Amino acid sequence: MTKNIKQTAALLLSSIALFWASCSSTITSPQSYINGVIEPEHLSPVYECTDVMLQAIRNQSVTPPPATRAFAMAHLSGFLAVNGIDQKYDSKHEVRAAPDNTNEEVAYLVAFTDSLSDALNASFVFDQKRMLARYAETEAKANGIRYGKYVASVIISDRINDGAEPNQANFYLDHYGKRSDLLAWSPTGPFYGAKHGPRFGTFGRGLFPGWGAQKPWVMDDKTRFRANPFLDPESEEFANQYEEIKALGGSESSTRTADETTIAFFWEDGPRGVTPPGHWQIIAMKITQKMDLSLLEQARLFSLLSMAQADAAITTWDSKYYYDIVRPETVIRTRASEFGQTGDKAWKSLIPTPSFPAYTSGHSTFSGASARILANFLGTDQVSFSSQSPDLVNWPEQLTGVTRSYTSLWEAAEEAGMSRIYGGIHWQEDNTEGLRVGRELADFVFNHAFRANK
Amino acid sequence: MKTHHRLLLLVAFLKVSLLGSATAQDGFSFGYDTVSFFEKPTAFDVGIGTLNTNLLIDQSILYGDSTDDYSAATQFLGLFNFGTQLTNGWQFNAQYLANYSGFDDDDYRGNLAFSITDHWGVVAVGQVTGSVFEKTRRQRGAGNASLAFDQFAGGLKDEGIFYSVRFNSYEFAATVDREGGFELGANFERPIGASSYFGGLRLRKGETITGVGSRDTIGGAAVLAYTYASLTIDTQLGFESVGSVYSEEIEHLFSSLGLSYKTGPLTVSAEAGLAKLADQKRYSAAFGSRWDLARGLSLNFGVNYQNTENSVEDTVARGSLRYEF
Repeated sequence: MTKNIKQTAALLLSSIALFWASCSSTITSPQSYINGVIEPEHLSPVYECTDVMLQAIRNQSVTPPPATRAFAMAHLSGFLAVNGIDQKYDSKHEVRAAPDNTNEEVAYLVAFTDSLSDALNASFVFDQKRMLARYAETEAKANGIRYGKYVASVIISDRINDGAEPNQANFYLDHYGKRSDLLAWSPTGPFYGAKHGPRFGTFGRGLFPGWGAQKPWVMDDKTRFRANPFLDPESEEFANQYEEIKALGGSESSTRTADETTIAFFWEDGPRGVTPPGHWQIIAMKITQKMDLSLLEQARLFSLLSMAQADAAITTWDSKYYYDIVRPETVIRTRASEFGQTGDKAWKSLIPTPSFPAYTSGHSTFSGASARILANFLGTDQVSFSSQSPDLVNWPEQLTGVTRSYTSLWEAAEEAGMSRIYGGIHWQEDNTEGLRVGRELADFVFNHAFRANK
Repeated sequence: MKTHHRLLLLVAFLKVSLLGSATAQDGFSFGYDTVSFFEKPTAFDVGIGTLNTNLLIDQSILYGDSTDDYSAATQFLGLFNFGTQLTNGWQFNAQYLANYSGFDDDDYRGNLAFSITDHWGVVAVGQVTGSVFEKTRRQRGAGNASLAFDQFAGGLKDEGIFYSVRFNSYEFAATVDREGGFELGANFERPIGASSYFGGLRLRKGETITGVGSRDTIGGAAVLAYTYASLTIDTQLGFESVGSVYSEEIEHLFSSLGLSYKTGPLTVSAEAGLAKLADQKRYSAAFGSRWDLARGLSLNFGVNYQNTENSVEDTVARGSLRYEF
């Protein structure tokens, strides 16, 4: 028996050691999101930490709302740690200044990874150790570690009971009323028409119904950017949008072009992936890498981007459950006659209809906010870039080898928004209002957070 | 069970099956609104926390090849979870799982567990010793599939403590029961390119009860799974040493291979197992399917075959209607 125990234990332990040795995917690994995106000479602590974070989001299959919270916690902590040394920008978070002789890169790495650990309930101790090992054991490094931990603790404390945790429960929780008219949302099934796509659980409940009740990051009021009321279902405009989604979004659509079909898959970014906000973090890394930004400016950009995305999640989920608007598939299949329209009981959306109300589109709001923050920071929207899907695993047959190119940031945001129409899961109104809200929210974030100290 | 009762159940089962097929062809036009009304009142804020309820009710009809008889059974699972965030940021959960099964003489079991979660991991106490297995196991078969001989012979006592921690793609877990039995496990899961991979390892020191008393066991098992879009193929290989006070140790080897696929409302799986306990060979196979009829309502089917060399050969078919939320 003893011999068998030793043999079995040795087998298990050697396998665990093998796992352990390959614990992190660095830039040279095919699993890294910055491999092939960031040129090695432009690698920075901001990019490397963002890569670690995006891999964790993918590995834990984190959905967009909690993903944006993790992005904001980690990037804000990282920025405040560097800003505590440079003292260049103001912040509503009261963080004491760093001691003299503090290594800012070390402070950034520690603040970022400690906050990320808290946000995702996972340990990044090995990633942190791997990155810190590059720095000589000096007083500046020791100060950086202490200061980074201190800044992370400030942000972690600030977000305790921010309203995110109770909303892990996928129920209504009575945060919002339920509408009872024709437009009332009904839960939908995870069925879709495209072949060889991701596997979903059978039925999901309404996702994160209380997320909109969460403490905002920069917004002064969580309802400040609540969407305008939805269309009158008896209006000509609604009738036009009904015809549009029915024609363009069905899996058997003869109206949608091959390129539009690819767009629907390209921006899905889930359920096993970086999420749509994560896709924009990769775009942000790609287009800023050659700008020779200081660590402080890089950290500021990604903190602004992440807080705008997190506030976009809050305001979108507030609108979703406040207005409680039905998804297209429900109207097309079962309620068309009540809307005075011709239905189709066999209609299937191209991609899966998410299990929460339609209005507004999260993709559109995230993309509008992300594109606008980047344009504000860069001083122009006219940025040409190309992008590949970060995660082929969701739609391998549809996305392998696909590269899409854009001549402006807003063009990419609009395409991301339209992807939900081509996919058959959103009304056009969800898209246009989401883009508008995202853009205005981004302007608010950019103009109110981190003003330069005089 | 009386014959007319069996017939009534069979007719009801077939009726629902046919209804399911018809509605599926019509594009799932019924069900979302009519059966989702349970969801809202089953979760609510309680003071500083949230109370969630999940329920599963399953009505089965079984046919056993060895007994050549039909039977019916009801199963009920209720999961009640209270969760809150403590002032230091830790997540606290108290869970009670009520499990009634009509299969084994109206058996009722209740499991209680308490856990604390933070970035350093999850610590749980109570009836939690099955948790390592759940994190490292092969994927369950679809519907009512249940592959025999695909597990250690030695088990753990229900009550104990459990710990798990996540490092990016890797999760490590350990549990210890009240009599010193333990299980250690590790898993890895992440996409690589266009496919997704899962690996699980576990080591268990347990105990098995036989006609001549209890025997200590120690064993290890490894699981690998490959997923491409909606297709998953997975395999398990395990070894266990079963001790004895009367004779030589007995070696237990078990292996299995499974495949599952989901398309629209239909999930199907096929699995096969081969095991050897001492000199006795054991064969098993399972086929399962699940057809989603409406929101939370599914029709499940399974054919489970097992053959113990020179001893038992049996095939059980089980069809059931299940509602869960």
